[in-house]
This record gives sequence, C-alpha cells and structure tokens, in this order.
Amino acid sequence: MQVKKTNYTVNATPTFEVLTEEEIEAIYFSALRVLYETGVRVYEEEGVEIAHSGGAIVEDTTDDSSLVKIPPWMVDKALATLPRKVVVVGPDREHRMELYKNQIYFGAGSDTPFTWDPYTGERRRATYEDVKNFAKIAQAMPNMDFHMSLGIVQDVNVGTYDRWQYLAMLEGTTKPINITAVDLDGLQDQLEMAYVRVGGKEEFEKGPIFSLYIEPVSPLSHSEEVIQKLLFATDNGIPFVYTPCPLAGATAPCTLAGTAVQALTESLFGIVLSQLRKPGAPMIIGGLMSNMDMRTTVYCYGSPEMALLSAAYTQITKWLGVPMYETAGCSDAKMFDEQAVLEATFNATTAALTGGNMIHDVGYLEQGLTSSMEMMVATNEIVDRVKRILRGIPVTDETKALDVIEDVGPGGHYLEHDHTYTRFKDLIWQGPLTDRQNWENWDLAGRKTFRDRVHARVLEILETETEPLIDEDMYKELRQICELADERHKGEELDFDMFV
Amino acid sequence: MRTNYRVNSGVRFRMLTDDQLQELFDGVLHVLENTGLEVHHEESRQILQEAGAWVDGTRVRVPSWLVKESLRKAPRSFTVYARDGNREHNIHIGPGRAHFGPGPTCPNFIDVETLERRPYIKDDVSIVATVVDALPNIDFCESLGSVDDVHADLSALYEFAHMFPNTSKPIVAWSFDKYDSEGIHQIALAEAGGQEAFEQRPNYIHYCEPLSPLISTFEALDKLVFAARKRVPLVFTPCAIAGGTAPITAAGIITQGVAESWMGLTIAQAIQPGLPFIMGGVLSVMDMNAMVFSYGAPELSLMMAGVTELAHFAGLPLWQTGGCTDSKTFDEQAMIEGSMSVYFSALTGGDLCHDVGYTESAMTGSVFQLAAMDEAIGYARRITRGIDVNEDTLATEAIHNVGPNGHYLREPHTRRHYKTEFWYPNLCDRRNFDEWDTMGRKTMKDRTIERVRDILASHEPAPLKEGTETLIQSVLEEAEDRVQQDWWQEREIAD
Amino acid sequence: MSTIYEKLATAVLEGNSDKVPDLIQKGMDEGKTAKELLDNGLVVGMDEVGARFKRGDMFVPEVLMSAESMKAGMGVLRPLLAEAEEEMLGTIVLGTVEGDLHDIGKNLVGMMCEGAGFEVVNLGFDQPPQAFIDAIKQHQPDIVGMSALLTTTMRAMGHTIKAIEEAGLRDQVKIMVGGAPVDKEFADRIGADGYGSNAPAASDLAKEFVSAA
Repeated sequence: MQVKKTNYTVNATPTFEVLTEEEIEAIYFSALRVLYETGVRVYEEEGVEIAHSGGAIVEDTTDDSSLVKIPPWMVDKALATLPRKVVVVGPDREHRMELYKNQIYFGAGSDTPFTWDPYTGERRRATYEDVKNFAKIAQAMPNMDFHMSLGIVQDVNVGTYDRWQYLAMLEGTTKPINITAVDLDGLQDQLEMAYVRVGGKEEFEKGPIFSLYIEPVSPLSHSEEVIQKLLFATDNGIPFVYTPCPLAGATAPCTLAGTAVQALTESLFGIVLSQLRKPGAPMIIGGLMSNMDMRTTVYCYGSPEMALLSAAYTQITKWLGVPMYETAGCSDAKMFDEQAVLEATFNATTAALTGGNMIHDVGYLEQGLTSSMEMMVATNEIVDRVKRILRGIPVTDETKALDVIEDVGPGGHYLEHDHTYTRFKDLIWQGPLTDRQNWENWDLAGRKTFRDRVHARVLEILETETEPLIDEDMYKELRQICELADERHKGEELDFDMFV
Repeated sequence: MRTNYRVNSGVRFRMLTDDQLQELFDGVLHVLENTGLEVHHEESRQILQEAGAWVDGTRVRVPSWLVKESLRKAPRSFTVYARDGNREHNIHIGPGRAHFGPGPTCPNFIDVETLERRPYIKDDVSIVATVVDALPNIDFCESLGSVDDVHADLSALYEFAHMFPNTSKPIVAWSFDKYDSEGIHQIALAEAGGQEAFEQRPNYIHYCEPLSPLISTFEALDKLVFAARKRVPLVFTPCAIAGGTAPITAAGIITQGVAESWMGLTIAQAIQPGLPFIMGGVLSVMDMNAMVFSYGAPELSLMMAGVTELAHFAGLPLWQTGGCTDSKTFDEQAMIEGSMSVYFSALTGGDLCHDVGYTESAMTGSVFQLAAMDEAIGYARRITRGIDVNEDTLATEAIHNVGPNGHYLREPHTRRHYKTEFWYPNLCDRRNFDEWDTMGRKTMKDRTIERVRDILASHEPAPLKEGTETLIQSVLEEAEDRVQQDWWQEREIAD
Repeated sequence: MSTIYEKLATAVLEGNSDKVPDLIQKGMDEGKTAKELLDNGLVVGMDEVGARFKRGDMFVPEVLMSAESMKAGMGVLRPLLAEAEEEMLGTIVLGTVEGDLHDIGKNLVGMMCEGAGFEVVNLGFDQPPQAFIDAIKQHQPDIVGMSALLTTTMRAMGHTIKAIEEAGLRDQVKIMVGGAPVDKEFADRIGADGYGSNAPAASDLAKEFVSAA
C-alpha cells in the first residue's frame, strides 16, 4: 500500500540556479547604486518630468536630453505596484501566456533583415510573404507559444513596415504576438489593428492580444522614441517588454555580473517610469544579454555567456517579481547546420531549466540577422525533448516497481509486463523528426539527415491548405490601416526602392 | 565588506530531493536484500558468503548492513594518473567534477578519409587515442570500437596495446576475460613502475559489465576479482533497458541498475577494502518501434541524472553517459542528442562521462562526433562554471566611468577579464556572413572534419618509457600464441 | 640587436603607447625620416596586427591597444610629415545617422581607422544630414563613414547621401556605409562608394579609397 508520505519534499521538475540569493542581492543593490549615482540619460522631456516629479534628481540637461538619477526608495515604491503576473492572449483567446515566476513559453525573435528562402536555399531580404509563412510555421509548432516577426518586411515602404508585419502575422497565426513598432505612430496603428482583430478596445483591455517590444540603448540611454512608446503602452494597457541589449565588453562591462548590473539599471528605470505614470502597468523585463566575440567583433547569439546571463537574469527577475523575457533557440551559425542546433540545444535547455517566461528569438541565425524556418522547426523538437526531462523522476511505490522487479526476477524481461505496457506511450518520448531506425532501414529509406527531414516538414506546413484566420472584410479593414499609414508617411521615403 | 555572503562556484542543478534519494536508496537495499541477484561465479559467491551475504544456490541476497559497509569503504574522491606524469592529464575524481571520454566496443567506425561506415580495425585505435590526446575537453580514453581484424578473443588487448602509446590520458580498459585483463595490467605496470607504484598512482581503470536484470555474469566477476586483487580502479556498469531488461519507469530502472552495480561493489570491497569503485550504468529506453536501445533519448539524460545523484548521495562516483546519438550520420540530430546529454552530464557532475563519440545507437564509433562533442563539452563547461559575483565583477566603477552612451572596449576592466570571462570556440563559427561566404560557406561538419584531420597530421602524444613498447609486443605475441594453441586444441577435440 | 624599425613595429604590435613617441625620437636622432619611421616601423606593426586579427590570433582589446599606440605615433609624426610635404592617409568623418542611437560599431570603425593611420572625426550618434555636411565643410575629409543598425535608419543613410549631393559636396568625398543590416547591394543602391561588413573591413576599405585616389 502506498502511504501518503509526510515530511517529504518532491522535485516535480529538476531545479537549476546560477546565482545564490546573496549574489542576486549584490547585483540588485549595485544596480541601485548605478541608477542613483551614475544615472541614466533620457532623451524625452515628458519622461524626464515624470521622473523628476516622482523624486528623481535631474542634472546636466542639454538640448535633447537630461541625466536622470533615481534614488533607491523610488525603486522600492515602483516595485510595490509592479504586477508579478502578466497575461497576453491570442486573438482566439485559446492561446494564452500566463507570465509569472517559472512559467515557460517559447517563441520567435523579431525583425531580421534577411531570411533563408526554403525553396531556393538562398539568403535574401525578408518579405511580407516570408513573415506570413513564418507565422504559419509558428502556428503549427506545438511548442511555440507566442510569435514575433521573423523578418523585416522589406517589400513595402520602410517607414511603415511594422503595420505590414503585424498584418502578415495576423494572417498566419492566432498565438499571442510580441510586436515591434517603428515609432509611436506605428504603435498607434497596430493598436488600431488589434482592436479590429479582437472586436474593440474593451476586448483588448480584457486580454491584450499583443505585447510591445521596447529596447533602450546600452549603456544607460533611453531615447525619445523608447520613452514615447513606454508612456503610450502604459496609458493604453499594453504589456510591454523593456529590454536593453547590452553587449558585454563593448556596451556593458566585460564581466557577466557587471553586464547584469547595467541591464538591471536600464530595466529598473523603465519600471520606475511606468509605475509613476500608472501604478500597476504590466511590464516584462529582459532580455538579450550577451558578449562581443573579441575575435570577430560580432554580437553573440549562440554563446554560453548568453545562455548563462539569460539564466542569471531570470533568477533576478524571479526575485524581483517581474516577468522575464529570455533568449534562446538562436545561433551564430550562418546557415541551419550542426552548429545552429548545438547552440540552440544549450540555450533552449538552459532557458527551460531556469524558468524565464517569454523565451524569444527561436529561429534566429547569424547573430539575429537571418531567420530560418528550419531553425524554428528544429528548436520546437529540442524544446519538446527538454520538456520530457522537465517532467523529472517521480519516486513512488509504483515507479520504483520493487514488486515488479521481484516478479520479473534475474534474467527475466519487462517487455510483456503490464507495468511496461500501460506506460510506454507516455514515458518514452518520440520526436517526429528524430530518427532511430537501424542502419539498414535508414540506408534503405535514402539516408536522410535531420536537415532533410526538417526541410520536408517546413515545406509540408507551407503547402498545407488552411482556412484563413481572418475573414475578408476584416482583412480589408486591417489592410486599409496599413495603406493609410503608407499614404501619410509617403514623403519620408527615398525616391527609389531600398531593397527590391 | 559584506558578510554572510554565499556564492555558487558553478551552477547548481538537482533532479531529485534528498527525500527522494533516500527513498531510492532504500529501494536498492530492498532489492539486494529481498530479491537478490544471480551470481554466476563460485569464487565470488564464496567471498560474499564469508562477508555476510545469504547464498542460496546461485542466488545471492545481501543484507543492507553489508551494502552500507561496502559503501563506507569505497572512496568518493581519488586520482587516476597520466602514464607520463603530465599533471594536466591526471583525473581528480570528486564532488562537482565532470570528466568526459569515449566509449568501447562499437562494431563499426567512420573512416577518417572516406567518411564511410565500415568495420572497426586495429589501425583505428591509434586514431581514436591520438584525437583523444589532442582534444582539450576529452579527459580519458576508450577505443570507440571492437577491433575486427585480429583474433576475436584478442581485440580488447589489441585496443589497449594501441591506445596506451598514443595518449597519456588515463584509459578505461574494457576486456573480454581475465586473460585480457592480465595482459593489460602487465603493460600498465611497465609504465607505472611495478605493482606497488601502480597501487599508489593507478594509470588506468578497469571496466566490467554485469547483465540486466539482476545477473552478475561469470566474465564480469572474473574480471572484477582480478582487478580488485590488483587494486585497479573499477567501473562496474550494467546497461539496463527501460521496458526491456528493467522497469520502464525512471525510478524503477535506477533502483534495479544500482542494485546490479552494488553487488559488484560488495564483492570488490570484500576483496580489496578501499578500492576505487565507479558505479554504473547506462540507463535508457528502447525505442518501441525501431527496437533500438536509444543513446539519444531525453530519458537517457533524465535517468542518468537521477542515478548520478543517487551515486553521490551514497558517496560513490558515477560512470555517466553522454555525447552519443542514435543518428546514423554527422547531422543536426547527432548534435542535439550529443549536446543535450553532455550538458546534463556536466550539470550533474557525473564523474566520468563515457560514450562520447557513439553514433548509430552505439553501433558506430566516430572521431568526428567525438571532436564535435569536445566543442559541446567546452560549451557546457563554460555554463557550469557559472558567474562570479564580487566587487570587481559587479563593475559599478567601470559603469560609472563609462557612463551613458560610452563604451567599454578600451576599459582596463575589459582588458583584465575578456580572455577568462568569455569562451572562445574552436568549431562554432562566429564570423559575419560576408566573411563566412568568402571563406567557402563551411558548415560545422566541414570544420570538424578539418580539425580531426589536422590533429592526425600534427599531434604527437607523449612517448612511452623505454622498454614499454618491447613489452607490449611480447604481451601481444604471448597472447597470440595462447589463442593459437587454443585453436589447435579445439581442432583436435573436433577431430 | 633589433633595428629601430623593428622596435617600433613591436611596440605597436604590443600596444605600447608610452614607448612609441620615445622610439620615434630615437629614430629621428639616428637620422631616419618621419616617412621612413612610419612606413618601415608603425605601418609594419599595424599590418601584422591586421594579419593576426584576421587569423583569429588577436583579440579586439589588443587590436585597440595597438591602434592607440599607432595614434600616439601619428600624433608625433603628423606635423613632421606635413612639414616634409609627405602624403598622409587623410581624414575620415564618421557618424551614426539620424534616428539611431547605436554607435558601438561605428566607434570600433573609428578606432581601427585611427590604428591604420587616419585622422578620425567622430560625430557621434543620431546625426542629421546637415551635421555631415557641416563636418565635410569644416574638416575637408577624404572619406565619410556612416552607420545604421535599423532599417528605418538605413533609409536615413540614403537621405544623408542625397543631402550631401545636393550640397554639392559629393565629389569631394568617398562615402562608406556599414551596420549589421547593411549589405553591398544596399550600399550600391543608395549610391555609396563602398561597404564594410565589420570594423576591420571598413578600415581596409578606407585604405583602398585613399590609395586609389
């Protein structure tokens, strides 16, 4: 008889940590020091004023910016109203992210200039059709929980590409989306589009169908456009990701702890400002922290330091009580190859073990400059494997199976035992793209590599006819918002096509 | 100065709680005491009986006090030495330290020139050993294959004889029988400087494999008894198949596998108290469709993590498994599976992780897989090294000096740290697209092949002591004579 | 005993900024000309730095130390070279274009070009077309370098080139562009003279521009 055990703690999943609580505190209190003594530069007057009236010290004001210093008590106050949980849903209300401590969701990265064409096998500038196709892939991948624009739409006007990207994604997926915006106007247009998609402002406010990506510039610089977006998002109930991209050794200290201190300083300023503007405004901080490769000068998306920093920062966010924007599923490899998955295996596994919430940049190759459908499909399978391991090792009378061991005895076998038969489908992981045939069968089947199988899967998804996700009227309405934006911003364009 | 400051030296990973480990531990004792094992080795049964075990025919049940006493005798930490005294090549086994190396006995090998799969031959041994010797993250050597072009009884001996001169990293020696073991030991002694010197500074580890479920075979124990008497550090590793030769549940296979390994422990410690004993084994699932024992399954990493923690809970080092794959070729699947198992192995600090370089579910050895996994191990080791958090690394001063919109490229702080804080890859390419394009769009596979061939063309392992080579030759000749005689005897009997 | 040229080259290779001016003085005392010390000493050292960096045998902070020592040497040599009416590598005006606050890549280009012997005027980030025009008028550079990290600011590069054209200054300068999303095709399209895929490539391109002139 299995007696319910007392005084007995179970790891339902494995546990993983980089930092001790004391180390987290050391990073946090160092960030408070930098925020107060070094300060951050803010290029937007209203933002400076809000901070100032909230108690910040404003110094060194120039034509375009001020140095803003935030005393620690302001951070304490802001953290007290910052929501510990943020929810973003899909337009169908079925896909849903509950972002809080240790909840994991994987999804794409955004805005790569280039993409690998799945048909020609060439790297080229991304288009509307690519972004739509990526959304279709994400829609079909069970382990992709949210989506971003895996490509900058470059066959439309440059100043308004963000609206077209959003439209392309809405055509391909009903999962929650993390958008980017060219500027405040682009954000307003996309919010309009979201209202259309979900049936009005009220519906959006009940459950926002996108979050917004905002990126302050490291070190310690918050541009006009960044602050404008932050304030607009705060006012309109749009959850936003406030994520600097510090580069250890170049735009941040070379030591990973120092990079975390600086990134946290940058994020804390965003937290303070948003909570001053509207206590309770939902935020996610992050996100991409990595190192410059000192041999090639590139921003590493596949380095162990990135995985490590992402994990460490996740622990800091868990300690602070704010959802985290992690990074994984990405690589410095130029094409989808062995390196690409090696790096993605490490960073996706680390992210899953750590429990950071929105784990983005799945599908990135070449330091985030090129997107790959193969990479996304392969990472989906990697995540699936990791999730098997995350189920941990249940230790009960049933799983220990002492009686079964006794029954089978030395030299027996378990194949026909009920203990095996009733469990094997649940306990033995099967990946649709993972091959375990013996040599002869693999040889007979044409010696296909993983890349061949992934590629075939990509084409299969792209070529499967699916019902449109938005009806024609809605599509027209959304498209009109894009076209009107094009019309409004026509004057800013060059008098020739930039890319195509 | 901040007090009560506790830091993580590396990252921390736990699969199971102490409560769960205690329960698993008790389960193992239960199986040994109640179900017992079949022990097909008379001498061992006698040793066990004298030590306090209950012997009933070939079935041996071990009371838990005896298992615990054996665990108490076995060391958690010890050193295995490089044959040439190169301290960089010594392996210090102990808490928090993960080491990596290839596995034994694949029937096939990926030819280094043609890249085709073919039977494993004698000449491949020195290739594997040389590559092991050169790769910075590979710590010990096994041959990655069973030599096909010598007398079948002698392949293990030939493997050792050809590994030993080509690497000074410690070898984990697999053998067929006691005769192999004797020959191997003779060679190792020549380099160590005699039995007593060897006992103080052992330069190889002996590998034996019992059978699942719950059988200690004659060969495994015959070798174990020999190694224990000669005080050779011992790996005793069952290779249990969840749902085939062991329960399908992770807790069940761990319980059974550990019971199998600890029967060996009990015998070994009864013969030679304090013998370094590395418990096994390889625990994974059988693919119920392809009927293949999977070396790439996530369950392998899961179960191995659990058994590693149980070993450490009991105070023993573990024979981990990783860097291996079910893929038939060097492709993305091979990298995903190999990297993931290497990573979990590093996370658990499983003491000696073997089977790095296995492909095709252990049917084919590949030095390319091995070299690629060297990169993955380097990557994993950078992660498990963690993040140092102290006043210097927190860098508040550097941040203040640089200020908003500045940069750190010229900071003294950067110059002090960039070489040690960052990992620099060998096979992962970080060039930008233009440069990569100009250099011929090489994939990681291309670069791995180049690196292996480069090592083979240039790497020179440390030489053996004078006289060892002659001794190796005479050991091989004696062995050849013995198997020839056996062959004639068998023929006479047949006639 | 190594020659003064070798010592200078080594000092540059090792990034020893303090030593370089002393060695130049010593070379002058030995009767070497500024041009000889530059060509046979400093440049040889920097060429070796470039070669090692390309092979992956040198790291960015080391290259920048070398660049720093080259800059220190040029500080001493430049007036002497001018006096002797020797050809010099010339001046580069660098900036990140309007709307873009990212300038780490451009800063790296600046430091590497200084290391190559150029005089570099770094305008900073978020620079409108007029700032480039003013700088061309003021500094009479041989080369203008622009960088952008965003697609929208890539467009600003196009606007800036057009503004330089309209100001009648296009023929006076070579224009090079760079930044992560930029490629050669785009550089051609907006009428730039060249594109560097990273900082060392930009520095090589700048050298090509002046040697062709």
